[in-house]
Amino acid sequence: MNFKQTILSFLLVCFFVVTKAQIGTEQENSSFFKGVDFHTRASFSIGGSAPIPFPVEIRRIEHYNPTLSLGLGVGLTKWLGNKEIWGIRTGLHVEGKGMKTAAEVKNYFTEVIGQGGQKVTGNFTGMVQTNAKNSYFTLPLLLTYGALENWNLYAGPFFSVLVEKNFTGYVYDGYLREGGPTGTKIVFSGDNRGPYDFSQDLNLFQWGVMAGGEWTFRKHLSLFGELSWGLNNLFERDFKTIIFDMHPIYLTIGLSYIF
Amino acid sequence: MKYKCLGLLLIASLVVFSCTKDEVLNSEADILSITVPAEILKVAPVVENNRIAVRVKFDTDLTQQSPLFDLSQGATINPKSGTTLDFSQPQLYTVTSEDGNYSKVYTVSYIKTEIELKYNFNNYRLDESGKYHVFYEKSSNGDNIMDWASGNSAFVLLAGSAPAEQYPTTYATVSQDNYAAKLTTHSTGPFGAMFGMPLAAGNLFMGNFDSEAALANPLEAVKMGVPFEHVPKTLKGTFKYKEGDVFIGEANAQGEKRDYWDIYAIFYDNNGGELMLNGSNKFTHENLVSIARIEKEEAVESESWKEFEIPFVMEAGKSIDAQKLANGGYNISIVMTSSINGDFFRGAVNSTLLVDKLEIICYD
Repeated sequence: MNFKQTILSFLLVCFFVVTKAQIGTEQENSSFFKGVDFHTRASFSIGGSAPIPFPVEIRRIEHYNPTLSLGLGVGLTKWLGNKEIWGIRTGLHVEGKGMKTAAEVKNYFTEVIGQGGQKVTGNFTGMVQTNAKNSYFTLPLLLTYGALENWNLYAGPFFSVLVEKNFTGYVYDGYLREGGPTGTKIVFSGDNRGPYDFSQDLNLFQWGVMAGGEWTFRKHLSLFGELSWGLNNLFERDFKTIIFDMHPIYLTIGLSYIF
Repeated sequence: MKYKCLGLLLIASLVVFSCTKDEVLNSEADILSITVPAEILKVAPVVENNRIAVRVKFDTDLTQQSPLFDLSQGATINPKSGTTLDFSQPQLYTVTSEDGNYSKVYTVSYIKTEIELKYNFNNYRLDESGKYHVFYEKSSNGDNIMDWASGNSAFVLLAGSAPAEQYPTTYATVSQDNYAAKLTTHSTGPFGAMFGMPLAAGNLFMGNFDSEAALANPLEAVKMGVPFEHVPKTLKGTFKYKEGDVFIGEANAQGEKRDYWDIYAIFYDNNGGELMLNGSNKFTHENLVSIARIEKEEAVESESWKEFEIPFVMEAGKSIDAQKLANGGYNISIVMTSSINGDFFRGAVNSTLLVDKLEIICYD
């Protein structure tokens, strides 16, 4: 099953579940579904994966493109008590997290590899192009505050599983010192590029915290914005080629429909 | 006021991508260049990653030399640049990086001895990185006179952790303590193909390989020539050759997808030590005096050691100036490869050439 089919079936199942639950609330009006809002949402994200703080090896970001990272999701909010000031929200989102950057680096430890498995590690000085395009299934667990007129605020942890992974790029306009700063110099100039592919080294599990707010501007419709901050490393623990931890930080803006 | 929330979120996310830190101290520890009195030089010094060869005229006093060094930004050198030392033996210099974390030892040799006329490929060592073999020539008193150059240092990029024996240029054992040069054409896999270099032929030549330029301009990275004070007459040697099975690249001018080995020697006027011919002008430069090259019909397969002897043919209208010859004004280079068009990345994978007992026969 490819990725698009996965998303499609995911959305169909979600739609079915939400519709079923809707019917359920209308027919049964059971105690749990009392005070529960269901919603679906569509969004786009901008951001990137970055080391924090920025290491000295990265001198300058010459170019940054957030790329078009889309997301879809369903969720529910269980309001607590009769006043419905506080609520608990969860759901399931499928979301893209991507970026394209060109950075100037100095003495940056990396590994240039080929598909044949050949690879050379060393310290690179010059330009590094990074193309990241990852997709996650994300489950948020949010405390929601709903006492403001037309506004809800929410914050809490999220847990993501990587479903589509792509973290590639190449080095160019510079030189690699094979093995370390005193190794043989290999110059990349003109069309010479040293590609790398760290897709297989991405961490399959990602968690972090997120916070946001939504503004209900029309009956059933809300505009929302939220910031998510990955707290564990983007890469697996035994991946040593990028010597600093990378954290995905994304701002997501979107529309949600509340049933 | 509530509407400002989104704006605040945006700003918060931008703060994350804050400014980079101040530049750190340099980690490199290179000798970029060496300066010695021009009048003692035969040819320009060759600076490599861990060694420097300075070929000097025969009347140079090696006991009192004070070379000057240009280093990586902020790096320091010990002994200091300009220190007077006795270069009857190679001297070691330690360069330490600006940040103090890295250092590199350079062997600096002043070489007065001429290269010998016979080459048996019985002396090889691992290069400083320990990854591949380097053949070298010794004088009768054991000094290193010349390292043979090869493209092995560029193959590092493709070889990963391959042992030295699997590099395109390595040794073969003929009998106990008797070795030969073994050159093999390798496929470089998708990575090499990406650079437009789908194969790496084994090669071995007199001169130096500029690994820095290897990717950008592979032909010019092959710098051919060492000073030579005789007039060469013929080039002799023995070989074994096995053509590889899988041919890569376009067919040759005769329309065949066949591989041949190649050996040639060029003898040229080095413009007072300034000129080094390279892969792009080795047969065409106006300074060429004579060329010896094996005929394709002779560069065939042979399972047993087979002898060859090829004459140096003078270029039209060229003569040799005896005074210039005595002053090291001419360079020679013997070049051999396991695939005749290996420098254009055409050849058969696993073509294997063994060469031994090379000799330059001279007039006089």
